[in-house]
Amino acid sequence: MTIRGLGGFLFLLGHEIRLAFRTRHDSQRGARLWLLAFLGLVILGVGWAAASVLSKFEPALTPPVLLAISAGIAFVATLMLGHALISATDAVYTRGDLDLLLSSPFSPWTVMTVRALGVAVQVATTYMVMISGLLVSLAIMGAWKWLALGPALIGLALFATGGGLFVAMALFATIGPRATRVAAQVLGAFVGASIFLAFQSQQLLPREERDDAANELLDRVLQVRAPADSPFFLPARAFLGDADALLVWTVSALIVFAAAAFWFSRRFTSDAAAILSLGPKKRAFDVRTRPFRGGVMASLVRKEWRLIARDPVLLSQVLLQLIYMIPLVFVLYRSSGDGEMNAGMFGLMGGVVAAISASLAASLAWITVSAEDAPDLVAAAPIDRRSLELGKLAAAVAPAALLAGVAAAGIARVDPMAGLWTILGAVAASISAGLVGVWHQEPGARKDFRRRPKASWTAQLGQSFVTIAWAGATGLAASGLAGLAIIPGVIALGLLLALGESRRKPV
Amino acid sequence: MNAATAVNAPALALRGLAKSFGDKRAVANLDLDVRAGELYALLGPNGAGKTTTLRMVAGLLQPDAGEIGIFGVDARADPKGAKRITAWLPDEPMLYDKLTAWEYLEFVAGLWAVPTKVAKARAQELLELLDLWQHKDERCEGFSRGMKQKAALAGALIHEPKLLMLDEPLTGLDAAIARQVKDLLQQRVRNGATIILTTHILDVAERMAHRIGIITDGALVAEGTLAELQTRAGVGMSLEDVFLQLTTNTRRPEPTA
Repeated sequence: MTIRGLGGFLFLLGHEIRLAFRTRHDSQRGARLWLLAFLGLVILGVGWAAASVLSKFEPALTPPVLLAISAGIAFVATLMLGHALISATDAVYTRGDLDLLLSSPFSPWTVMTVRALGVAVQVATTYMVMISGLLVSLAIMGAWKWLALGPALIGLALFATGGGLFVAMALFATIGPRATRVAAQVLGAFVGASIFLAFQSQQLLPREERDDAANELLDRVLQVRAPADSPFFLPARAFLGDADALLVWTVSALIVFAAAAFWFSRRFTSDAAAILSLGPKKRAFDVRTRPFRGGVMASLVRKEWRLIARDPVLLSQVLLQLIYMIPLVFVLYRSSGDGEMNAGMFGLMGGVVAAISASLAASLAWITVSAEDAPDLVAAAPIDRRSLELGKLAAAVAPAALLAGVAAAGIARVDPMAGLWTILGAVAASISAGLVGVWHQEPGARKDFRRRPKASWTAQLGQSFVTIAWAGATGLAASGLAGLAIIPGVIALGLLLALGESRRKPV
Repeated sequence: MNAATAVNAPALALRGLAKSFGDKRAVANLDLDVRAGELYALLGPNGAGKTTTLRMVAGLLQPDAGEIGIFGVDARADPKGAKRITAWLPDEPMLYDKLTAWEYLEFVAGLWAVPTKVAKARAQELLELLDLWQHKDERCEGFSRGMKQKAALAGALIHEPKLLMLDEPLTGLDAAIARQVKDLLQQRVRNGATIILTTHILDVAERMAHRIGIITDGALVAEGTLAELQTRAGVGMSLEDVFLQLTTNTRRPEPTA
């Protein structure tokens, strides 16, 4: 096999990277360019501001400073690990091109190695883009030492990808290919949010104990006994531009990644048939039949719920959006015990519940409306468009409203009025987000669920702004400022009306 | 025309039907009549406008101009009334992978508001006729291409449409399944249904269709029974000869951008 040219290693790697980053429709190229230009300016602006501070900063390499930097690196590493795990699962299961590639003259080992490399490039690029403005600014300012951030971050991406591949392999070996797909996605999301959840878990403690724990942690940080040149601080020193540490860091990252990629390739080469032949489980034939249930609306809702419930990958992706609701449970659990809630807390929780239920409704609306598997079938049925959309909206909003109802009930135990405003706001936000999804639908496939926000910029932006407005209104009302809540409420309704006016007309 | 189906109205009457996609004219002032109770084959080369025509009849595309009458129902004025008595089966089966065959039929019956007891009896009958009864509780994602096509056909028939439109219904099916589908379609026609099908398999049109229409560049260039078409083209010609003669002679050049 050649390295360059058609049929070579780099050709396949180029194809892999192109697929990893190709997410949007060509028809939206104009909007994409504008957005990229805007993001580029933001990255450069933020980078310049950060570089202005960093270029004059000469950190003392004391153990507490190195420990703080290590904690920051660990935080980014968990995000990268989660990203790598999800990307590795995508690359193996979701793309659906293994049949083609494994039947090509490329050796299976090459195909899987390139795939592992593609995951690493994807993870590294995502984070390198974020700090690109900083690196460019540092170079312009002549702060060469800080440019070590670039290679150190690439090293971290390689470590994280290696870790992600090892975890995926371990799952594959222990629970098999079918369960690995879902488990890896769920684990990836939890790992990505682990630091956030760990910080929030302290909310379970009463206030005095929380303060004690924080003080104790600070004391321990200040009394770190490990010397600054300890291997424990190697990543931190590499990020701070210590040349020796950087060399050891990047070489170790390469070794870990190469070992993981090698194992990944061997493992999947031998088990590729198991992945490719993943079919549905078959049920034994039963001559009995259950009666049909009728009703146009009910049929639509039932169908949507069945399809979502039977797609574990999709279901896990939808439910993982709720991960950030967990801290809310921590707060409620503690507050219901010690009664230390104040109006501001109710406002915050009401706003969060409204935002999360709207986000869930928007996701479900995308699944029921945009990712309809048989659009011609429902379009050919004797149902008017309005009823059809209403059925799909109901299927999307009901689970979100139910979830919000549970959260609102928890809040109502402490303050009934705050609970009432929370459920009202959450339902309004969910219906609005669902409606925007219905009005600005863009056909997509269920397997592309995670990439859906890029499918329709209008829907995404519209849903975001309307949700923010409703979350604000809910938060204000729940914190006892119902009069003020009218302002964001009116803004939300105005936005909704504007989005309704600009809805797409049928072909 | 009103919602009630007229007794002596043709199953399908198209008058001046037109549809363009940008500069590309897909259907050009098409006039077409299909009689009640006949199996009508619509032939034409790729891109001739067959599928676009049927999609407009099924209510999936808005025509730019023209009239569509289905058993006397004006499909443009009363799309729901028209949809109630029609069924559309595209070349790619419209199924839900995660639903079982039984649940799929339950859903389709629900969309067409077929009474549940009637729908259940019909579902069982159709699945047995199409040899899918043993697979009724299996999800469609595990079905072969032929099984998917049969499940979709069962869905199209569950509300007993008066007009059934099928786009390439036999493509990709093995001989045994193709025979099952053909038998079922002929049985439906014997029972009074009207069927319009598009096909590239000329043998199917030759053996099954009462009348054949040949469409090219969105316009009907010939129509009649097989014998009439052969007479028109010349003695001793097969349908394939007739088809090639008509479609190559009348084909207009593609419009340039």
